[in-house]
Amino acid sequence: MLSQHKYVLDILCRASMSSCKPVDTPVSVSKLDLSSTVLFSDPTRFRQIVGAL
Amino acid sequence: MHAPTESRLAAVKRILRYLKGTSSYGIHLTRGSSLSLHGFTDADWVGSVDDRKSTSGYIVFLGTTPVSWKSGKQRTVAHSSAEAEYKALADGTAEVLWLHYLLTNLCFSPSSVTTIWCNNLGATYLSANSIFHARTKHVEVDYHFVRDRVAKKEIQIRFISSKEIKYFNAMNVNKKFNNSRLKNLYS
Repeated sequence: MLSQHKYVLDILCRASMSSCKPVDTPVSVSKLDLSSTVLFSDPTRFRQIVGAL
Repeated sequence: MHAPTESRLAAVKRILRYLKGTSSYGIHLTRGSSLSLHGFTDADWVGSVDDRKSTSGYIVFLGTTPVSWKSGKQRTVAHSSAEAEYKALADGTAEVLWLHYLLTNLCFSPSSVTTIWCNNLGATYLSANSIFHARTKHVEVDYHFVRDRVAKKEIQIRFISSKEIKYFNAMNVNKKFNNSRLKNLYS
């Protein structure tokens, strides 16, 4: 069995989401709202998480 | 990436929650698996709500073990579902041929003619002979290399119903599921 279990746990830990509620699908069925212009306060953190995926 | 918004962050968090639920999933490698190469291809026609491009996906198995897979948005908009599926078939064919050459170089010639399973009858027919009617006229020439390879008997394309593509759908390649269907596929 080949899995990335530990890698996933590490990413979740780094994102402080180890105790989040799991979901069955990676994307919501409703459309991603691209018109929103509210900026996330910590772009570096955003890039770290996305980069780890 | 230079100016992430809160809604993008929410999408990323959703991905992390998905990973949390699926972190124990993996690829099951079995002993004594045969060395026959077979692939599955699929496409969702006009899946993107933004630009109406379709997403293709393929997965290639060596025996019972998945060895190569991909899901990606197509470069051009497809006029019909058969065209979208045909493009996916072309991508899958390229990958299968490459793996075939690789295995041959490693002195593990696949035992039989490589089969690619496609769940669209139109695309299957297209790969067999030139039904060159109005709706496929514009399909780029490079996709027609699939037909060449079939004619040379390097690969064969066969039809499989969507219901049977359990492996493929379980990969969650490019379909949106409701919960009950998803649970059913993983079981």
